[in-house]
Amino acid sequence: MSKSAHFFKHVFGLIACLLVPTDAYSLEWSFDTTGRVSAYYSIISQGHTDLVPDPTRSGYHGYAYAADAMLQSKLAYGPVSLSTQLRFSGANDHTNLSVDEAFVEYQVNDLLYVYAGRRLRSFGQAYGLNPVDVYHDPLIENRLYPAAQTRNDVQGQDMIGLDLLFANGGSLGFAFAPNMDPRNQGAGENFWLLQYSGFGVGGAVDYTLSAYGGLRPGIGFSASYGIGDANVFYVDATLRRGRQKQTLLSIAPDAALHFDGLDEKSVKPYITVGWGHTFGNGAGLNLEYTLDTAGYSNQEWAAISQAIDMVSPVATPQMGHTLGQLNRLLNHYTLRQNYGFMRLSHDNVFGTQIKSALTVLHGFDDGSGSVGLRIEYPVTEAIEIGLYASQKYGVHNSEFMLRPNTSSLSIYATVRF
Amino acid sequence: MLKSYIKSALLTAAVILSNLGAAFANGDDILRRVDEIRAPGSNFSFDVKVTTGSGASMRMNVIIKDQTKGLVQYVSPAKSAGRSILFVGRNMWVHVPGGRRALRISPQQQVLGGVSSADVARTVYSADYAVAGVDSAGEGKQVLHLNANSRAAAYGKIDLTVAADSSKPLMAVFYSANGRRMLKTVYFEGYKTVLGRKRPTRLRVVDHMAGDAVTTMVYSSYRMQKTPEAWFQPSYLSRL
Repeated sequence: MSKSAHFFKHVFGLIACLLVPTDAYSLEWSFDTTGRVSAYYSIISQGHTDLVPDPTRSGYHGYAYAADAMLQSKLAYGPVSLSTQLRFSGANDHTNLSVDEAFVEYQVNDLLYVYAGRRLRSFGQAYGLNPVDVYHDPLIENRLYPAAQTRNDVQGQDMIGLDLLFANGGSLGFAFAPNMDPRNQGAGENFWLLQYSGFGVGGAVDYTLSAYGGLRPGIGFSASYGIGDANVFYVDATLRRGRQKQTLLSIAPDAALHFDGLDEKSVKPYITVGWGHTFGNGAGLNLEYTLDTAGYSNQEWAAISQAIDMVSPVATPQMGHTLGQLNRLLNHYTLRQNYGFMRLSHDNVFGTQIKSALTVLHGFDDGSGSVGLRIEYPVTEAIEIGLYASQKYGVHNSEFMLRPNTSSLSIYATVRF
Repeated sequence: MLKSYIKSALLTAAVILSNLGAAFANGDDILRRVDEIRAPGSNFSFDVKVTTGSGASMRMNVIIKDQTKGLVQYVSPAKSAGRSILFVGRNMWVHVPGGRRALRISPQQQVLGGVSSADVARTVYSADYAVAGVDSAGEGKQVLHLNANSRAAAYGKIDLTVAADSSKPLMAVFYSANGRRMLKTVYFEGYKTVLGRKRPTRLRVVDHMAGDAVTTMVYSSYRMQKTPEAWFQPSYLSRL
């Protein structure tokens, strides 16, 4: 038998083993459901900026209130399960029912799982800017709530895929998401992801290697390493082709803008390195640095600032049109290249049940940033109330000061069942 | 003259070393017996309820595999239900359902009150600590001095008091990584017959970093259980 015949024999043998169902599961029905109802009221600053000269007309409000209900359920029969997450929200002037998740999973055996449907998936270690969270656009999050709720309360992506788990702790995953569109703006892409996770350095390091297809193909890498009893170091990085931000090439004397494409031929590193530390009293600190080369450089930002200055105040229809273009151009969660992130949290402040978290996202390129302070108190085991205050800082027309909502104070309550 | 000095010094050193060796060997045996009392086997599971002095409580189900792997699933309260912690060797991950990913955490990270993740998921000491010495504490008690055998252990040093006749753990004092600061004291209480022998079913944790606040851990529903190997990896946590 030739070498290639041997190889294919082994490959087919492996596939056959993987596809043999085991009786690890019992053929019984099971149904689990959990849910949550949240409500908030926010007071938001509403001063005009050059980019948004008329906040009210642009949809900004001095206050916001909303309630939403989320229901997760999982119905299983033996190796087959149906998982769903439904979310109903009612805000200032609109209501919305979202099917965040609805997917079927088949457990072929202890090691192999295949699934199809809408799923919410997330990867990586970073708490601030996470390069490998590729199914998600942080712009759509409602950051008033704690991070886990914020990340969860979004619509998932339609996909098919499989996960193969190895007994040595490694895993291999593949997923294909046709028409993936994290912002729900009707501009999807056929995105695929191939991923291997494993352990190195005697188990001290866990890592994930990824390959991405779609409009911005590339590779990803995540790793974390624990040192001592209280320190964790981690990195999340991607090298992907092109960028999601358009380049502003020039501004005509009449304020008409000329754009370049999405720089599709160059590869853009996006890296977050972080350190987590747990203090003896239980407080946790995370410090992260992010380099996003797909963000605007100083030169590109200078051109954007010049364009904003040129159309402020708006005096002609062309200037109004240009301002609209600039608003769309700058509609991203972050715009520049260098960021620092800090999160200081404690789940039992002064020995009480009060939870608190202070977060800072600071842009090194122009010195602007955002500070958030959250305090939560469990009224009962199922009911929690919280306060969230945020304040942005920076000079005129710096990244975080472009829009009117520079500060907010929110009170919220969450009931879980 | 010099010869006789050297001879007697060597003899004395040999006697001291042999006694020390015997003490260490004895210490290893005691530690092994302590671990056998705390962990009924290599593969088992139990439920634990953690309650603070202020009345806050959490219920968890813990699955242990090969002594060194642990899977902690939060059952209540509602805000924590579904959360899970994975412990493989000295590495820990937490999966919060809403977060949709497994995040690496340090063993020091708190669960509730003075109880850390490692306190819940680690059921044997010998995997992380080595016996540095044994002292008699009087009243039929011995103290095992345990030192972390790597910087990744949850504590730098532990002074473990056991009953001299049965090796039943009675009390453990935990110290910081540099071994100087006393972090917490744990009292092993509520001895009951569980899976064939007397085991502590209640741990009272006094947190010296929080004004000696007391947190209790009550253990129940011990059972021998074999769990698939594939469950003990970060990628699996979202399926629990």
